[in-house]
Amino acid sequence: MLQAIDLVKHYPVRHSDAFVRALEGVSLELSEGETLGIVGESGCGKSTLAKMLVRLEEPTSGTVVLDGVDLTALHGAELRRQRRSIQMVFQDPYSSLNPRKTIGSTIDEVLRVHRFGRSAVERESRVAELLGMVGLAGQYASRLPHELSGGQRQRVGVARALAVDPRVLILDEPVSALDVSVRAEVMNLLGQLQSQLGLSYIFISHDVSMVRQISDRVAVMYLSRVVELGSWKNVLDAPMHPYTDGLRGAVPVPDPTITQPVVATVRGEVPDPAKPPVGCNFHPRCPIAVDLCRERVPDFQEIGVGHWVACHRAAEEQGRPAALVSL
Amino acid sequence: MTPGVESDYLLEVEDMRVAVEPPRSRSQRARAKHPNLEIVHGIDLKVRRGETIGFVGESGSGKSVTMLAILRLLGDQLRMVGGRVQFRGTDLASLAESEIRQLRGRDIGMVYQDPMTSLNPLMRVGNQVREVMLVHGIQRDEADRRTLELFARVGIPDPARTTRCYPHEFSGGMRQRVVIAMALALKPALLLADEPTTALDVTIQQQILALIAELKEELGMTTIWVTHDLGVVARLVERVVVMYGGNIVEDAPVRQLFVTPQHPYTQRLLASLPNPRDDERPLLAQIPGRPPLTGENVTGCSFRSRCLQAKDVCQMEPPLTARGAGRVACWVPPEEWRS
Repeated sequence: MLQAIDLVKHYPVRHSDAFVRALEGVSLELSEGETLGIVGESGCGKSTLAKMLVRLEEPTSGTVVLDGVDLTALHGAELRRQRRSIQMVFQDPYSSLNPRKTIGSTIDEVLRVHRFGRSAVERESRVAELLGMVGLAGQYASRLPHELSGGQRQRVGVARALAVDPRVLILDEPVSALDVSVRAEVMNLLGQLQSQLGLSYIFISHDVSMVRQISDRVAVMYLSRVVELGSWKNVLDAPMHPYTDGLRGAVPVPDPTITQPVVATVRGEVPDPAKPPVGCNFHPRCPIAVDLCRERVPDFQEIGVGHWVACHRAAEEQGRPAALVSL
Repeated sequence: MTPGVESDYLLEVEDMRVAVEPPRSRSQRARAKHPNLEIVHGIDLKVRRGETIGFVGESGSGKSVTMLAILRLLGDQLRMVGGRVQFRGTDLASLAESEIRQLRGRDIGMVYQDPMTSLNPLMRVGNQVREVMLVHGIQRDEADRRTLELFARVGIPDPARTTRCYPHEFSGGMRQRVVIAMALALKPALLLADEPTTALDVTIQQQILALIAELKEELGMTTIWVTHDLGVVARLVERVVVMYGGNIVEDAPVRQLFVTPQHPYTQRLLASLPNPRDDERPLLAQIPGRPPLTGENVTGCSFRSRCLQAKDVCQMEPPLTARGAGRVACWVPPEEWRS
């Protein structure tokens, strides 16, 4: 249904002819009713990708296609109409709501901009309906953001995104700013809305455990590229890319009865995206890199059914999980 | 500082209470109408030498305020209104400002969440580490030498060059390493780390956690970690203190806390986390309601309104009492819990 095809985004660096390579040819597909999780650390390009999917950013090259329509080529009224189909929920419900506007008028504004509802009365009942969908009683319409808890504010963020009947929600770190016990409530709400409304989600997060909880398929990004893609089970429980494996090992598990690595599973830091390494982007930090990795960018290859990996070594070690990373 | 009687405990906190100071501009009458808003309600805590303790709780639970109060760093808005903090047997309230300033840094090191709040953006990072030592009376040559050593020790590459960098030239992880170098420069007996890795990526978090764990072994430091991340706690600490609504609700060895939580809040909090090895991915357990607001006057147990186990007795405030190898503030033991 939704396709990102070979998206590239380069930002020029001021006073120089260099570019920050935020995205280097990212292709993804999202089906009806599916949740695609995108996991990666800061600077991997996941938020740039999100913004491009809702056209808050223009790609340097590549296209975004929704039901066969190239969204990157649209303008004016047609763009506005198509834009309704893909809506975004932001990370921080504190900064994405206007503190001086009531919840009701914040949602009403979206309806007006997209010319939903013919009269104020009609819009008012739509606002009440939307708040009901996210589990907030109608009286919240007259409240200001500061009167709400973090979880309630994020519910408002979701209601606002749902206002124009979208088919796809781009969820950019929707629970990262929330307290642990509130995360559960928002995660459960997202699951429930998806089955009720048949929504498709792109769930972007740095939190492997939340991505594992909600995703059907998972894409792992590292320094402007997708390095692994497949079913949540394959990618997160039996990863083939050494970065995915290291990332998974780096997440502390809330269970003191199991032995957890005491040494770092991924050494070093992410390189500067204006000066990416030659060859595989991950090779300077990779425990199993060989000469080939320092010379050539690995192809993105399908090494199991629907399981794609960009790693020279993974293809070689096909069939064996990347636990081959011995530290 | 005159050392008092040496006990087994490095740090002893007794019935510590912290309240919000009413604004000064208010009239006498207005101030009377706004009695002290108490936000930390009587913390009792003893920390043994060499222990690693995790302080967990959600925003507003009082965990950071407790740490600031221990250090006498509450600022103008908050005030310790009761209780006592003893460090090596000395009552910290009895120290002059100059004495406590000597103690911070030399005996108690601190690392905060955002390294930029601890670093001067206009000063070379090496000089900032060096200054900590100069302020505490170490000779220049010695301080220079130790700065280079510390940089190497905390894993900052090429110290001869990088000590001359400014904070903005460093990544978040590298800045936090500088702050750790500053905190450890004088080999403190106690390290207080308030969410030291929350702002960092997980692979960098793991490197920093490994580094602090190593240094702790090397220096035999006592450490207190303040965090909301139960994964970090499980991986790192020996004992966990859980705070809720300005109180300690449970305090137990890490295994006991995770395996047989004694407080319904601890139990619900653990249940709200996704199990990374469960293929069924069931709905996450939610905790209905919300925590008490800062300064909200709750009678009885502060978790009562959200608690599935609440009984009539919970209208009285439960004392923190010994249970198993830990302590818990709850009237209803797990044997009597409804599932």
